[in-house]
Amino acid sequence: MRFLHWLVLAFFLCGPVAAQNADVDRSATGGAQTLEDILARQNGQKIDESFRSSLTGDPAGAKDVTEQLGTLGGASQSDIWRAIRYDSASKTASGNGDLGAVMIQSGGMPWYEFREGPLREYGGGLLLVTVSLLIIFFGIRGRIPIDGGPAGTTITRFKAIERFGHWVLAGSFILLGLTGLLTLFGRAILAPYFGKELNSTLLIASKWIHNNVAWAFMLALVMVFVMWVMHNIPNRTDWVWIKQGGGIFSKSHPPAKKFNFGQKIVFWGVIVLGASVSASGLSLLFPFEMPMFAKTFVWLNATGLPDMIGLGALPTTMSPQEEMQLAQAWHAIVAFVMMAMILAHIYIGTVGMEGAYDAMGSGEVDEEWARQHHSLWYDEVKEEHAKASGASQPAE
Amino acid sequence: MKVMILGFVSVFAIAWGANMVLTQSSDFSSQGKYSGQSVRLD
Repeated sequence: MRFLHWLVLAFFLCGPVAAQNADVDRSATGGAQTLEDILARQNGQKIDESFRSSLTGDPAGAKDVTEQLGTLGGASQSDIWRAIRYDSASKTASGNGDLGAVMIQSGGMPWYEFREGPLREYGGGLLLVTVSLLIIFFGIRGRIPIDGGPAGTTITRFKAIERFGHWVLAGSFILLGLTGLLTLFGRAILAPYFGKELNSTLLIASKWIHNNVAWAFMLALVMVFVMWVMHNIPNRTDWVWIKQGGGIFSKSHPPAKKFNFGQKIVFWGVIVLGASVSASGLSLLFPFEMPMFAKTFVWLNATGLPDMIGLGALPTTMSPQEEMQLAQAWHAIVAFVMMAMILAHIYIGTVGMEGAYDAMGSGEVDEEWARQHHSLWYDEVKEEHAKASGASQPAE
Repeated sequence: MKVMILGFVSVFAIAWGANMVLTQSSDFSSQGKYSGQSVRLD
């Protein structure tokens, strides 16, 4: 999971990287950047900044106090600002430690550009593609019916506490998704058409909802995990389901226990991605107090994986601001993947399959639906009922 | 259906409770923590 964190972020944030010529002649600019450097940067190439980051003055070159420039020491104004920018200047902050001492944080620009560009484009694109595929799928497959029609008798599929946990999770996730999308897209999509005032009002409301509803999501995530984890451990039955492709196209009904393999994917997807989005969310909720990425990168470097695929060691020291930027980027990426997955889940649980919604609606499903989609679970429940009713029969 | 509505209402109840607790915590507000500081070059 951590490796995935790193891989996705490296892909988006690093951008195209071109080999930098270390032997560039900068004598014409006195060691400062050249037109080629500027053009290369504008082309999106990664520039080796060491020629600038190391150009922060030379105490040995300071003029004597008796000379005209004697009081300026060995560093020019430009040298000092370079030292500030590359965080090598000796400075003291009156508060907030490392956080307060960062005066210029260049990493903010790639993050900003990522958030304004690829994050919106690929994230929004993922959701649109998902909805389009679901519409196409519905056009091809239609609503999956109960073969032979409903039996008319029902069986309890989910108890009230299970449905409660599900709906707290679902309700909070929908709110978090919508307010997250408003936060990301509001300025680009709403403000130009409906005005900045409306966008601002929505953003203020979104922030309140997002920050506070997050706790309901985390609580329900734990609830759902505890209630259903035992039913979602993969077993041999899943292999049959996989081989038949879940019966999605073959129109067969592979055997399944309480949850089939497709539902297990959704369960573990929600748990793993939900835990990850919660962790990065907490990091954002308590700014600068829960840095995670540097620690994750230390762990990743120790595995040797980044080096193995030729990306070298990942940065293990980063400014508090950079930690927050990575947390935001990761939070949004994971949220988009979750939203795409949940769109498919909502589809199959509502319009995609006859009788499926009842499981979470009333908790009672049609017996024929249960026999067709969860045959092993249905047999278990019927067997339990038979035992219970047998035990309750008075002895003759 | 009743459980679904109860679930949705609970989302807001938890959110309201979280807001009450967190706004009581001075650490949650960044205004006091990050304003008025200065940085001096040595």
